[in-house]
Amino acid sequence: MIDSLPVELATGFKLGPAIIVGLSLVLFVVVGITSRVGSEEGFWVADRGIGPVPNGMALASNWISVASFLGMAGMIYLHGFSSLSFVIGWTGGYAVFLVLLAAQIQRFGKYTAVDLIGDRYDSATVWVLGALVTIVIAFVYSVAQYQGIGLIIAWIFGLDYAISTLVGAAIVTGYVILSGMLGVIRNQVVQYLLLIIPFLVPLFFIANRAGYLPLVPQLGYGQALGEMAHDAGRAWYDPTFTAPFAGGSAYTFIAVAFTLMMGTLGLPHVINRFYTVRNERDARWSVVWGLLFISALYWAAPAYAVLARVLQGGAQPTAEHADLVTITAGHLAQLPAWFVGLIGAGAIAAGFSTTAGLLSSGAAAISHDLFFRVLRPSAKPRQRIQIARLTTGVLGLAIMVSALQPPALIAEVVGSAFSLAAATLCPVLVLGVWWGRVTRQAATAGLVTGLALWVFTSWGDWYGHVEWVRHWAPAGASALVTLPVVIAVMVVVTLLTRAPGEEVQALLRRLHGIDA
Amino acid sequence: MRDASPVFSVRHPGSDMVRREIRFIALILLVWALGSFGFIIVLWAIGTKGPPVLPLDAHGWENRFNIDPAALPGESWLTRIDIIGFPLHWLWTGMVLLALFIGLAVYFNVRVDALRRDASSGATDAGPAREIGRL
Repeated sequence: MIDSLPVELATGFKLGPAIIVGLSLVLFVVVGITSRVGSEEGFWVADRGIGPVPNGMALASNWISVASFLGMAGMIYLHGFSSLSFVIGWTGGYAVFLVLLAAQIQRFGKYTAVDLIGDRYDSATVWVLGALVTIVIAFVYSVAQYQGIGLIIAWIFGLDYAISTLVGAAIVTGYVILSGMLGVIRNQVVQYLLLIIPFLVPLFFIANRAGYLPLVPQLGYGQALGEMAHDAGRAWYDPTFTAPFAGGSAYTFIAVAFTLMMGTLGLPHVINRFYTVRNERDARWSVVWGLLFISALYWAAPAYAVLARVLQGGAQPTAEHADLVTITAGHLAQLPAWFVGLIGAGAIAAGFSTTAGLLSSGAAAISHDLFFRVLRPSAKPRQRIQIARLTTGVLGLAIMVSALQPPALIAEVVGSAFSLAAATLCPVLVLGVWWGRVTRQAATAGLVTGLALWVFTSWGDWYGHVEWVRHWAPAGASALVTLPVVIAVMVVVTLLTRAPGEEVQALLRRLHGIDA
Repeated sequence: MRDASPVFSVRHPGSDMVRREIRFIALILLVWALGSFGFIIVLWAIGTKGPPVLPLDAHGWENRFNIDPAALPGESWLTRIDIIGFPLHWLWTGMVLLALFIGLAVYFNVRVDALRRDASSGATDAGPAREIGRL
């Protein structure tokens, strides 16, 4: 998402922000260490004792990444209405997740997303493919987070980007290793507060400076938006900003939103969160809380974008400023440096919480799904936790190395993680949970097809420059094309193969609470 | 070829309670799809057709005061309606739709909670045996 820092923001050590961020980092580590766990249930699923409100907060902080915190406002600032596809894409998927999967995952009551599809299809091949997909999703998603964390630490401490990335990566990896999921969730509750307060509070002052209903800036910016659309007497007049398809076609809008929504149903770090609650009711209600907490930020992000445009007057919006527009808006509103530093601390919290969730799910895929379930089922619990900690460290290191030389188009890489989840885990999970006829052969064919289509569309968009791929199925928004293909393949293979037996039907009745 | 045991599916869920839950789900997915994509399709259908123009280059930015807003892609009578300052399509997409998603989630949970309460008191659900017997 962030490829460079605006020159005026990039240099020098900033004492106020440094103290705030330093305290935040210490707090994360302390919470992680005090929540240290020794049991497998504690490490992976927080002893299944998390209530709906804290789990909703954990869901939200898990979800709100550096890209959401900084990049969302930046995209809207640059592309206007068309970027609202990200706002609805990153929220609407939860409504679908709730009705199709939330309670069923909780009732299944194991550890990972792959556990569910592995047991449902009773197949080692499905298990291995599911674990590989999980690792790829966690990896590509985390690279962008590490990069964002590195850039913010570099901005605040005036350090070299590589050193900043090393410091940030070491801390986040360290506390996941030390604490496991219990520490991650407790941290994510703290992190939600540490990210939402620095995001919302400065907005009141920025709206006050701009003169638009500071008490409720999420509504107040509407007046500025109307002026931008209709009032040619204003320096910030720009009718292209609100024109529905000036920044991208209607098809692109729908493809982006659909991919992000369907990707939500297949993201392992989201799915894992539903094993941590006490019962299926808490699982369902934690989605409501999570959606509310997420929306609190997404309602405010467009306000940052619009108010930044107002405050900069007639200056042309540039991609360079878009990357850090929430911080730029604070500068433009002449807020004190330490106050602007709060926003930076919030961005760090956002990056840490998402990365921790991704690291946990990626490490679980390697150590739990591949090592224990497939390679060494006889491993003892203590041995499993040691392996989990080791794999977390190795994965964190590998992600850090990639983040030091990040791909050129980070936003597209993040989007492609959603495309992959939407074309693989999403259909295999949803069809598997709602149709007892789907066979292991169909799941295997679905995962292979989804993976192949994802590789092809990513290659066609980024390297092969295949025109129809770039238009109809770009890497970051391909699910509108790939998901129907995968579903069709799964249905055809299912109808050509023998139906699963009573064991699978009994599992599905349990997942739907029928035999409970 | 088919196994003798009843196969779980949306059409034959094996429980009245789950059957009713599936009706709520269908309703919610319909509202979700119409709200998320139906509105955009309407905007496209009635709006001005044309290729995207953003991001503007320096020349385009300087000349933005000379652009005819009605000629921009997607513009229509609908996008010229303002509510509390917001163009209607922005208000719907950036504000109302998020509230709609939350509302749908609350509605679903309240209805399912009621279903579960009824089921646990034996008021509505005769259990899986009756449903499986029909298959």
